[in-house]
Amino acid sequence: MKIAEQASAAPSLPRWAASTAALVVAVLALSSCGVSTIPERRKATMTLDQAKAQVDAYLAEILAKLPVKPLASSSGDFFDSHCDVNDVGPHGRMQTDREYGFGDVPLATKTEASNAFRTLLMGKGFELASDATSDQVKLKNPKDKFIAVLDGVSGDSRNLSLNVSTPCVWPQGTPSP
Amino acid sequence: MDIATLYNANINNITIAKNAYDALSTAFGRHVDSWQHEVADRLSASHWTGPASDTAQNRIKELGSELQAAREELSFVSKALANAAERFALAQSHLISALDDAKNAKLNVAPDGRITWDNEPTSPNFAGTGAEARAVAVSNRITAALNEAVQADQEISARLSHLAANASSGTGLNAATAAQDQAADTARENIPAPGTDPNSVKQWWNGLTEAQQQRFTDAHPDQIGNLDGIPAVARDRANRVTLQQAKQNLQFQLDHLGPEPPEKIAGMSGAVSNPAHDEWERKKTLLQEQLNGVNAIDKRLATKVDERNPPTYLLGFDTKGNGHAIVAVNNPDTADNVSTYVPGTGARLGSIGDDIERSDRMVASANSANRKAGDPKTTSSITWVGYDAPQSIVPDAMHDTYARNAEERLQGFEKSLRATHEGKPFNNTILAHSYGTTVVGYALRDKGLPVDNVVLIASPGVGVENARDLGVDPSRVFAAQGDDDPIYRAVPLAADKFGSNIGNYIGTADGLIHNPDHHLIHGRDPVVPDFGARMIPTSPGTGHSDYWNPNSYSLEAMGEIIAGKKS
Repeated sequence: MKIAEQASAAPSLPRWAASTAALVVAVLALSSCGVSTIPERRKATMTLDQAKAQVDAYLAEILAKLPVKPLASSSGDFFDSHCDVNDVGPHGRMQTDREYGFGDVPLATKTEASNAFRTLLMGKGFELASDATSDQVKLKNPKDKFIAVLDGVSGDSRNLSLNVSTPCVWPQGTPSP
Repeated sequence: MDIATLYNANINNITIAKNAYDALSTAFGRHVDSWQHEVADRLSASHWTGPASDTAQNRIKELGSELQAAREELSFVSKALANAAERFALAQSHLISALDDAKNAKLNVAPDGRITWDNEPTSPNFAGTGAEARAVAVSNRITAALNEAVQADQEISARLSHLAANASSGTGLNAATAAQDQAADTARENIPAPGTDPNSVKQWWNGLTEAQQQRFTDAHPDQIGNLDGIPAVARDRANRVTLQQAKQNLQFQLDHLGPEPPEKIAGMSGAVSNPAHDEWERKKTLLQEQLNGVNAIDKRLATKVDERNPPTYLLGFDTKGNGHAIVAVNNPDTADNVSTYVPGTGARLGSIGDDIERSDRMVASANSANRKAGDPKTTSSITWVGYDAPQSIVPDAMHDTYARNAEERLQGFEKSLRATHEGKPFNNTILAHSYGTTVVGYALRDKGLPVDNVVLIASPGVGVENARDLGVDPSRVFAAQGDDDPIYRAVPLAADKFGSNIGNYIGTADGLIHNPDHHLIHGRDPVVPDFGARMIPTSPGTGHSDYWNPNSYSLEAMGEIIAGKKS
């Protein structure tokens, strides 16, 4: 992870134009996502259980291809959390992820693991995510929006880990009434 | 102290002694009053003048003071004896309870404390499986009860010895001595007021014995649990009691809310809304919401501890207004890195579950940063809903009153973290989201906070034009704003700032301004270059709620800062 040393991520010009052009609407919209996002969020999704099963399926496939085995102590439970909590809604969607740690792995093994990870998932349609850092291979499936990260792949890192996370889903597949 | 001594102690004798001292003290007081009226006052009114009179009057005045001091000293003996009776009775009750439980569990407790039991399944006295664990638990309780009695004995003995020495040496006749003893007595009996400097509170707490601390916690869990300067473990213990009380109370209120009034009532021109129904609905919603928050905290406190679910400490709790709670993931008093997360608009007891999830994620992210660096340091993340947050964007969050009202509470809490921390100084981060950043900015600007890092996520302004005005090293001020976050639209309503935005926009578009500026409703946007903060990168599509998404750029960066991995 690299944190920018200067303020280089200031809002772009079109955003500022929007802000000054529509003051009242803008303030009202502050609490929310864009209007078009709300119907998008209301769409049916896979259930949370299905999402977890998909995470485990991805993890199983990845682990089968990696040259290292996760540490026994590192197989954590799913980490569920709520989505959209500071937005007007709709509320109730959740996302989850699961992680495995491998400890301090030799660089050659990390490289081999990175290649295997990339080859497997890109073969399944995953694409490189634009916000990956130099210490990780971050891949996102454009179809189901799942993200898989092999983190700590550089020589500087003393822990290799694998994480797969889901997009936001309705726990029962559809918005609660 | 052995089991028999405590078990057989006739504590009533201490109470009898205390009553005798009360009688003595009362009689002495009557004599002092009588002496004052019959001797001192009469002599003063006798019109006797001259050098001999002056000498006599002065001595009588001194004597009056000495008698008053002696009267007070006697009352302190009585208080010490009352305290002794109370504490020995408490220790004795703990011992008896442990022994009763041992008996019910078919465990035999010997006079020296050894515990034996029958391990033969066919025996009528078979203690059952798991007898050893029960025996250990009983043994610990017996030891704790004996220690409690020993501590009480030592402390009461010291107090009585001090008073006896005062009496025999004559220093007890000194008004200053009596005043000192009174101050010590008051300090022992009274919990410092809210807002007392946390370092003083910590000093007061440290001056108490474990039994006294327990007594205050048992008697006033609501005060101890919310008092800055009390160590995290003690606050947690007290607040867990208050939480359970609140749970029962909220459920009771819900159950006794009464029948739902009709939604509409007849008005002059047809059916109109029934105010009684609106009030009933408002109360029901508030109670149900608070109960949801209590249940979320309760569930997190009870979660089995593992790597993903570190232990949780309840550092503050009440149901006043929308309710408040302060929940720490991991113990901040012992962690190497501590972060306080201040949520923004909508933060309240009822919604705290979501914010605790964020704290959990930040701890996991910081742990990950530490593991990658091969650093064994530990991290605690605290969700601080210790203020009355605005509950609506319009109009609540447009006002800075909520931030101003939170300044002292936040400062008190941050000072408390420093006061109660054990061991080496810790890396302290204050991290806020949305309106929470305004709270943090105002507190930093107006009160100062003892923090090392400031992280401003999705801020509508923090009350200053530049990071250096926050009173911390500006190189340790970080800010983030997602590309899909509408917070940048929270522009100021003041004409000058609004005009400044327009002028800057036009100037930038014309190529006349090369250093874009932007103001928001509570100050300059912390992500513009002139503010001087360091940028936290965000993942594409980051909206107002998305900074803590798993595998996001921003979550990883937060973990690095909290873990002290960003130099």
